Amino acid sequence: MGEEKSGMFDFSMRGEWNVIVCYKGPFTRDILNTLGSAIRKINGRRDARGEKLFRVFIELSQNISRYSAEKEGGRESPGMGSLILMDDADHYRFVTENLVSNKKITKIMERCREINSTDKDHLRELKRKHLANAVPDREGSDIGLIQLAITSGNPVEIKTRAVDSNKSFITITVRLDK
Amino acid sequence: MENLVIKGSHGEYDTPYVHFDASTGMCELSGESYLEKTIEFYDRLMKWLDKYITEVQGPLNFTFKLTYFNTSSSKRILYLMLKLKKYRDTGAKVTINWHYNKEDIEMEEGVEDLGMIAKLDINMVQDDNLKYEG
Repeated sequence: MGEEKSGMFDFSMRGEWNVIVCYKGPFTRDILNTLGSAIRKINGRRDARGEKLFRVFIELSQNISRYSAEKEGGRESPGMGSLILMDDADHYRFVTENLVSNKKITKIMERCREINSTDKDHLRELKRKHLANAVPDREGSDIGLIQLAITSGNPVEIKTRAVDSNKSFITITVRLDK
Repeated sequence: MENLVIKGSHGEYDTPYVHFDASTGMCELSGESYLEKTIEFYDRLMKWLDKYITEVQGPLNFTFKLTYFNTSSSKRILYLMLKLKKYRDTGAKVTINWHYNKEDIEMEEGVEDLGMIAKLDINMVQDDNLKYEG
């Protein structure tokens, strides 16, 4: 995935965001643990704010690791993608980007609309419904996006950009108020 | 029947600590669970429970002290609770205590959601030892 296709790393030229973490590559278990530990202690020690950032980071990263359409070494290998964590004045913002099969986009966008048009109580209801109906022999729980909205307390923004007839870039933005 | 002990790793890693005691029925799951490959890990726990329920047929007293679990783990913990519910419905004595940091509303609500799906009473225990620190 070349930077010229991604567009995610344009910040380096503009220099207007306070970037805390910027990573591009395979989302391996070690990467998750190393970056996760750093994000968790964003204020120099563990606290409630760092914990929320950590939880959002884990869900976003495991989403890439599991579902990215770009993997080196077969389906079981960790997916590739990009993640940036920025510190804006009154909020933190995560932006992730990875390739996804076009076949999955309709379902993802439907889920996103569903999540963003409801309140917290209904989000929990939605989570319970999907968790109760999740497929037992699959690793994923099908509630990752819902949990992102619950943890962050904000809508989850998703944009897609077609690469070809099979794949698109999917960009997920999650904002956490300070 | 043998105990099930999985050392897990606290703080810097993603696998919970497990101690299931076959002689007392006291079972503890603590630390964190945000591993990606949850099926293999939780299968060991489910198989141990199946064996305990079939062979020992004793009471089960579960203590959860998980400070974080990812969405993949929440599905596996739900299946564990559904198994406990099924066992309790046969007349067995099953108790579940979930320790949590009182500042962690998300954890409290997440566990409440699991209990609602499984139709299982979970005793929520505020625990100062699980406060954010370090």
